[in-house]
Amino acid sequence: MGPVVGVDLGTTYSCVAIFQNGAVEIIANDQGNRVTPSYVAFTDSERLVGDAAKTQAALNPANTIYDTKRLIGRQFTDPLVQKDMKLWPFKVVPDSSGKPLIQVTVDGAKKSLTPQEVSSMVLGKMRDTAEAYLGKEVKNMVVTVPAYFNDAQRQATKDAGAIAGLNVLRILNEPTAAAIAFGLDRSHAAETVLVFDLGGGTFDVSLLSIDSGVFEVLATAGDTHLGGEDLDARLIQHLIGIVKKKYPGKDPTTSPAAVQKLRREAERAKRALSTKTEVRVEIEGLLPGVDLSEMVTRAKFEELCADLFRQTLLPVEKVLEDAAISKSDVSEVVLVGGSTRIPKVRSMLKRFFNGKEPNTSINPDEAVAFGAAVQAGVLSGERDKKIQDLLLLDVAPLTLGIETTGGVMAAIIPRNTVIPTSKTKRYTTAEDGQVAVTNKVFEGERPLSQDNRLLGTFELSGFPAMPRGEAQIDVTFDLDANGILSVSAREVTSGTEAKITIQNADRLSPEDVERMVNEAASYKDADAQALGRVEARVRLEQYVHACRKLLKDVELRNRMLEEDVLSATSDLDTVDAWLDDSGDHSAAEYDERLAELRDNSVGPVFERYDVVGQLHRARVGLLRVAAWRTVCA
Amino acid sequence: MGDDLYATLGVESSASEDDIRRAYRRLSMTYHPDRRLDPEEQRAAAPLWLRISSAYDVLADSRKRMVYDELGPEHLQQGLAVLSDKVMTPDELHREWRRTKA
Repeated sequence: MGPVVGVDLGTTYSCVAIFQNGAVEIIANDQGNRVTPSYVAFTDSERLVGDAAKTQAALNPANTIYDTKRLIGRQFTDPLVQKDMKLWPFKVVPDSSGKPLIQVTVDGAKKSLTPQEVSSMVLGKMRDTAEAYLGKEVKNMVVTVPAYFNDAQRQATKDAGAIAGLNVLRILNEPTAAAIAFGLDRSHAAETVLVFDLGGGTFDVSLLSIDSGVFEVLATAGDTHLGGEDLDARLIQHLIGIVKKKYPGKDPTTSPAAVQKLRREAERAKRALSTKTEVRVEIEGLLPGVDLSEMVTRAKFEELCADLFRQTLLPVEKVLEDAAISKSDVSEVVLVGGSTRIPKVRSMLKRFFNGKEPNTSINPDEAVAFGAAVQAGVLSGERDKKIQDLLLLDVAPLTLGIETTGGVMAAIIPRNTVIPTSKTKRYTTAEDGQVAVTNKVFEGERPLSQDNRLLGTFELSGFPAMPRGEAQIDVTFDLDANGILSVSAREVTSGTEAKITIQNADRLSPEDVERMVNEAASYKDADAQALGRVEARVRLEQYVHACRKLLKDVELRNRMLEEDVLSATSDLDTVDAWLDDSGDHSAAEYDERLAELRDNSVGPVFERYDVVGQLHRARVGLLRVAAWRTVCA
Repeated sequence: MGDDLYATLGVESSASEDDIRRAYRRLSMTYHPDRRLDPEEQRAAAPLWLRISSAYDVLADSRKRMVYDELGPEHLQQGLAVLSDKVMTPDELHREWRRTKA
């Protein structure tokens, strides 16, 4: 199946890794960075993903997309989406079925993208990074998601992979992946480990038992909308308040560029406060005539975020309770995710675990991709003694059930059930001659189904009419190893397969996915065009460069007629001026100029002095890689 | 639920929680679909592992195990419905069961 890589698709940053030759390698991107911003931007001429997109964010705020993981698998009306939108400089609108779409302007035209499509671009970038490093095509991936992601969010992540033309071999839970990174090289006896994963946008806590290669998740809990971004938001609001107070009548929230600057500085300040006790936030020209210069202390930051910090302890308590394990039985509290660098988070956890020091032995930014790469190795049959006896036993994070009489939720697959799993429930008809049954599937922990999330409505039909109570319909809930649900049904007495239709507003239809795959392919064409353009430009530049180098050669200069030197130099100057002229030209235009030089102007001149061979040698430096870097820069 | 769950895990009915967990992990190493690379073997292993994990689901939970031991496998589904959050003695369980059945 070719190489299988592990990808941590994060809210703010993503990371790709591979297991080969008995070790995990974190793969650096074309900028040499081991993590890549989960950013996608559209300029008038091209699409940018990763570092290039984040770098230009303040200049192009409305067309720079990030935080997609906070939108994926959610409804537009979701209060969290509504709240996040206030700080996003890009536009989010609802589609006809209430799903959010991100709106950007490309070449003067409005373009709408689903969160899945944007995520697929980030996944595609991670694939490109891996392919450039491995020198091989990459078609298969293990992609991680927060353990507490629901069915729709998992399905949407899988769809994102499909849109990028990738086969998502497994959706793996982030804290479980981190646990592998922690436990792989430990030759300990059985131990109970709590993984505390506070990332850029999501928060998970998983309790695992690790015993000679078996990683068994005992319980998991979390908040899919809590992370560093929320801490940044508190800091941003604080700074906005200060600006408004100092400059009455000025409101930074009216300017997307100002919010983007505040966001950048708030993130920087937050990071600095993990090692310093105070930091000055300075933004000159935040708005016309508005300069910000404000000292923020660690104590102030902690006060702004106090409730969020406290909130992180609830899932810790929940997993301990669910697994019936006491604090003192936890042998290690493992920290993952950039936000666990915050001193307050560490001190709070330490106090909660009665003075036990949290374990910081794994890299908080790379551990998840590391674990994903190991699982990728296991699933692809990598023969290595380190991983050949490794097995992950993960669980369903949320209870799945159906609505019964009175709107009560009847659990079919309780939370923390080991996956994959399959549960069958028998139904009967309530009326004589009834030939159809409708059921609603819900997800969540509340006793009344209306308080839980509706996954879909399914209708059973196609079984023969029978007196009431006689039909026996077996409905089977299959939860696969990715934590994704499928439902099937069968009427037992008649032996007929009941027809089952699930209407799920949150899932993309196969047709949708197909359409998006085609659109993604068109981006690939556009990207290839951009690459072709840059390559053609580089070819021309290299030729000019080689000619100039040749003209500097003393031996040749002595042989050449002065008028030939002058005409060649002048032709080269003309082309250089054209190249420096702003604006992109097409690959054909570059090639035309090159042909003109080579065949009609400087080329024939050099031919007269018999140095064309030297010219060719000088141009061997032309590399695809050089062109590729220019595209990404 | 007609299976003998103890037999499925290959343990005695008097097995301790630790014995049950060890048996489950050992069997999982063999029967979990992820441990099989061949798609054919994967398909064959899936139902076996489901039986193993279902058996473990009951036997690793002291309340479910009690229902299974005291009332029998056929009562496992219904029996669970009568359970409250507190652990009951077998006698209490029987009483509760008779009360809800009546």
